[in-house]
Amino acid sequence: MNVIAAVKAYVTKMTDENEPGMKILLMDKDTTSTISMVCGKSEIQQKEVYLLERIDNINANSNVGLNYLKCIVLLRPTPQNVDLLSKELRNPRYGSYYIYFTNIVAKADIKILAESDEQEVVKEVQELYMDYLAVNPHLFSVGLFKCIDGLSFPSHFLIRTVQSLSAVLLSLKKTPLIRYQRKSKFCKELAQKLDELINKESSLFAFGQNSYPVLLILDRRDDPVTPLLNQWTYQAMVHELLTINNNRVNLSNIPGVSKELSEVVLSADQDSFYAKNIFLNFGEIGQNIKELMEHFQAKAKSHQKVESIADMKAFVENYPQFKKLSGNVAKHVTVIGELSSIVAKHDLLQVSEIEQEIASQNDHSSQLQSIRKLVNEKNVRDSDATKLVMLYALKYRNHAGNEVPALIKLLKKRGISNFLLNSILNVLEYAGSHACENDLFNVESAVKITKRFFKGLSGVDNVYTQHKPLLHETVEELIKGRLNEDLYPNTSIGNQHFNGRVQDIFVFMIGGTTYEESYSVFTLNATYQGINIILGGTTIHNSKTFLEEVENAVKNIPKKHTKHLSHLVV
Amino acid sequence: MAQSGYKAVIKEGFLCPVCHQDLRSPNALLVHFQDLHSEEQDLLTSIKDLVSKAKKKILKSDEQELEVNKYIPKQQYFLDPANVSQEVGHFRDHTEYFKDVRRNRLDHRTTETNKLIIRLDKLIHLDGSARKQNEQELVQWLDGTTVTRCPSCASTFNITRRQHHCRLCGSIMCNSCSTFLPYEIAKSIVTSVYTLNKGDTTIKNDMDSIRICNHCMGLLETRRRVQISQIEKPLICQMYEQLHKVKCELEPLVDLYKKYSLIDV
Repeated sequence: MNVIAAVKAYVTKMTDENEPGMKILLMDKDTTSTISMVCGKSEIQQKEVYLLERIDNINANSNVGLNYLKCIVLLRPTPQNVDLLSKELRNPRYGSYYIYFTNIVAKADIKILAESDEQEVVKEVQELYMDYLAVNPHLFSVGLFKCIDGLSFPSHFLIRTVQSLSAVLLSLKKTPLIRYQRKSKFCKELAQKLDELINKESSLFAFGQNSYPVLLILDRRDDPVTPLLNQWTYQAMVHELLTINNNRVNLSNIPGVSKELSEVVLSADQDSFYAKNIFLNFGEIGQNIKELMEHFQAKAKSHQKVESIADMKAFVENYPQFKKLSGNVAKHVTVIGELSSIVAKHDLLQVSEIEQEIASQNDHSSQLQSIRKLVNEKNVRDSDATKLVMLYALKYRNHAGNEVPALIKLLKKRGISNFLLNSILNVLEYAGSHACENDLFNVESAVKITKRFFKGLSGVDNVYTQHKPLLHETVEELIKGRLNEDLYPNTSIGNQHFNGRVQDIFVFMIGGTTYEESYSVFTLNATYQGINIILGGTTIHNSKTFLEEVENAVKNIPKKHTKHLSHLVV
Repeated sequence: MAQSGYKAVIKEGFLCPVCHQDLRSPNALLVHFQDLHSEEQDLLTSIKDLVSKAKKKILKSDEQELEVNKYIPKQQYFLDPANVSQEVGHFRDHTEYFKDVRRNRLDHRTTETNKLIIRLDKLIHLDGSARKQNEQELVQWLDGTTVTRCPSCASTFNITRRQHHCRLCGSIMCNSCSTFLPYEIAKSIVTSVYTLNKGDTTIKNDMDSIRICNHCMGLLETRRRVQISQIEKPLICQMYEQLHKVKCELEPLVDLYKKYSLIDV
């Protein structure tokens, strides 16, 4: 199971199906992202696709004499797109049209299109299920930021999530047993909607599968800690410190950066250095980039002497590769250079050590002391200081002697912005809303849950990677067949129990997943032979986007859990 | 067909190729043919058989290829970009349904256009003398006595705005709602676009034209535009095709070149 390969296979099918000739690819905003996640422009051009166009941004002037082009249309089946496409078909600008929808399309919409096609230009109408963003082979995202609004799951976001999830399942040909977190109403809603869809389209989901795939739907509120921590593996670190947006990293803020490096693409698919280092920690990457540099320098030296015909031949043959390598080296050196300068400038190593300690150990007084010290440190960023207090407040919210008010006062003295101060309360509300909701089924006590997010792994030698996300443990329990049926029920009505070993697992996180969890799933995939786990989320968070998501999730909700703190923040 | 048009009566419509009966609709024709001329069907079925056999064979070989692809060993390194082969996921084809809907809708239009073309073909071969009478024999003109307004622009007919008949469909309209189609163009419409430049010169009165209504004009123009766009190819496209052809020829040679280039000079 590999989501990147699945989308690529669809792209190949789409571009190979029609006769040879020059092609244009007509897309919408979402499908453009889907394609750009898996294919580079040159890769698309090799398939004779020379022009790319957006359906919502058609250039009216370009409607002359392009009928020698074949038009591949790739759209989400939304009413707007159907409308725009039917307009396009009434006045076709291209010779022939091959229409592909990325999800299930209604018969009525096909009828509308067929009736618009008066000149018989449409050759093909198909559904290819790639309505999601494939980030890594085992990681996908819906691309929905701020999907929880005022502690409810708005129906258009819910439908969008169901569509994406069903596309993932269809593209990998799996019909899973759906298990969800009972105490979360979002998980229940999503599970039920997806179950409805699978039953409604039972002919589509009828695969002769010999294993029992499981889809596990989780709620971000169960683990608000993971997105708050500083990260030290390459991909996660770049996202935390520089933000990855659809595989792109914006570097234009770095002083003195050259123009071609102001935005770089980090795609494991096209960049072997990135692919090899994506899950390695910062120290190892430093070593590897040094090796890459040395390799590059050796190459560059060999290019300097061009004395004989044989040298020239070798030069001409190797030059394109050399050029590619030099671009790659420049890119990674810039990115890693920037990462290490941020780390040094803001004492991130110190901050992270305390973060990890809070997350995985129990030593209230020494942690409190360290936080007090760091909050007064000048080099530490405001956001890091706030996150430390946040972690402390989350961990010790049921601890009688916690000093959250004192710490907030300390932050205020430091002159921290209101948004950040408020976000402390928001996170507490966010996590609290989950623990108390639906007390009837809440088998675990609040204290035990709190313990669970912070449960660490003893004997880890690296102090910066002590924390393991809650998801790791949950999935491990599922693999071993020990996941509690009361806490994680399934949607099948007959309540059938299958005792077979789980093989294919889909984990979906409502409210967004993180690259730390992605790494965790990667290690699980490597540890358990024969088990394939795919992780998905409504989006992929770093701490900054997570705090915005949290703010949106608890806005306009009366504060229940932080009444005693609210006077401190105003 | 045009030449024989003077003497024999030409039938138009959905004619059975065996008994020349007009069946009025494509479906009726199909049913009639299947019911009455089933002995000719033998030929049809044998052709169908042949086609389906060939199809099966092709599909089977495709399947075998897919089978081969399935047994690619599991990837060694998880994120290695080199091994990303996976069978194509599930998909659903709506092309048949789409074409069904489109066919139902377009059948009517195509029939109408074809009727107009046949009539036009006859009209431009009429002699000048009894033209008006011949025109009315070919196409039944609508009775104008009850029509008081132009059906397309709704202005009343009077001494200055007179009734005119479309020579192709026989309907009534005013002067401004009709167009004159010159013989020259009419001729090029009737002749297949593919033989456009070879055209014959049998028609003498080049200055003449035929009055037709805007509706018929629209149908004829659409057909012509589609036909032209199908055969017209800009220079860049022709060059591209040439380039592609050359590329295909060259590709096998590249390997050969590489093999030779390895031999030290």
